Amino acid sequence: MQLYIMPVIKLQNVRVEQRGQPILINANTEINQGEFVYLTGHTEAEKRALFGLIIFEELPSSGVVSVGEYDSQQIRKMDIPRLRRQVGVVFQDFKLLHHRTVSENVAFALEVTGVSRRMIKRKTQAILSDVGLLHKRNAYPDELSAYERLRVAIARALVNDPLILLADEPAANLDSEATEHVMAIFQKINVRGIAVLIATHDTVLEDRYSRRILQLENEAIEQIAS
Amino acid sequence: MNIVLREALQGIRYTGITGVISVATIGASLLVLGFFWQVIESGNALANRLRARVEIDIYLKDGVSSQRILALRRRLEARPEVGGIVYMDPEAAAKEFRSLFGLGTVDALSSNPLPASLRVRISPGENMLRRARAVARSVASHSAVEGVNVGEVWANSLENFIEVITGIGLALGCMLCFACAFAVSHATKLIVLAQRDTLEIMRLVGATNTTVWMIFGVGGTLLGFVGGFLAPLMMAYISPWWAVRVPDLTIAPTVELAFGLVVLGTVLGAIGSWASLSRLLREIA
Repeated sequence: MQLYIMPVIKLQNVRVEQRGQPILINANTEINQGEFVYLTGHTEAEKRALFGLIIFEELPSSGVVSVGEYDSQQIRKMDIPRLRRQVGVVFQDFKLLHHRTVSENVAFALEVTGVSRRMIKRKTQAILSDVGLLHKRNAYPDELSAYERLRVAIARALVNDPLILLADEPAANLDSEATEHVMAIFQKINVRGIAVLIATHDTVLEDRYSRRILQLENEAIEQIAS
Repeated sequence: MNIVLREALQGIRYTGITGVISVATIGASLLVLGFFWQVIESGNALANRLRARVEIDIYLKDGVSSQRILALRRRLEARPEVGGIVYMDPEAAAKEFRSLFGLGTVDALSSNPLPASLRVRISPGENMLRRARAVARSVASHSAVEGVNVGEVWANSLENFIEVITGIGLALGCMLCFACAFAVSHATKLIVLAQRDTLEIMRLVGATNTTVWMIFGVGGTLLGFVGGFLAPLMMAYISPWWAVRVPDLTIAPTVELAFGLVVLGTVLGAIGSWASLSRLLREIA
């Protein structure tokens, strides 16, 4: 019996242009359910374009982007929010709301998607417990270390049970010990079947936690290791 | 709903002094609007009272028999424009003249020069002047009639006055409504800009456009509501002071007016928010 693994993200002959400049040309790749993938070699514009494509913030000039059950040729505008609930994003600067506590930051992702209050409380506590921040639930982001803020951002990205987690340079501001802890969290997430795509320029990270690597260079995506 | 209200209130808090100025602008604009409404209402009430007193004096020839006067009276009563008729004999006319212009003028003459007349009251309603003229025309050539006085000058002035006041009220009302919507639009813009990071996260985690619109739109609408609520409160507060100085023109708001101002403030708040949001969200996206 052959096990069929569904692609969570699929790019087919994708071309992206911004202000007339090509950012991606004829990009083809797939990320499957439960895969752990590094994205390397990219420029800031290329990475933004790819992340933007995955959350349908921008549509390709040509080609098709598929995320879960949606694809860029058929998706309706009203379905884009639903698609985004299937993609968790962790930004390099975390993008936390500074006037809200840790718990409120995580709960916010559920509140604005219409989840019931009881479920919000339950899921928020569970996810904070998973990332080891339950004891800091009433703290504000400015009272946390970079490592703790990163974990809040991960918790918020995961609280809607996404199919894939995108993380942009998650270890950029961490020491090696914190990096190990964060990678352990990503692996724990991955084991649950959530695909993880980490954009990084940290070769040490790639070497130490060997996974499939996609190189985004000269407007094209290439697989350089698996 | 809980989150919409909470976020909207938080948004208003972020606008700080600008939010307060917006509410004050809406409150002041609606106060002026409410004041003008009361002036128009009082003007209309006065006009209606005066209209109810639109009368035609039909002066009768000397020596006309009472049968002919009765026939004329019946002819007038048959017309729908006529609300009532009073016969004034020369003595009654002289008495009225004395009460209006003082003793001596009529009494200085050897005989009473005032003719008998029929005072016809026009029934209240639209186009009083036109109807009064129609009644006057219908009897002007009657053999018992010496002359007819319609009192056109004041009737014309009254109609013109009401038209001017209503026109000014409408123009001012439009300008003030625009000012309200502009104030709310500006405040909403500040709410959105102050919470740009919140908006960004909302879109990122999959909030629908409806949720985004509700959260930011409700903030502006609430500002309009508070402004609309302030206007009748201020009118009620000012009205005793006003009543001493201008007793003939009450500005104390009626329940209907107060409700109307609150609704208008809320609607203008919603329109201002909508105008601002549709532009801003497009820019941010």
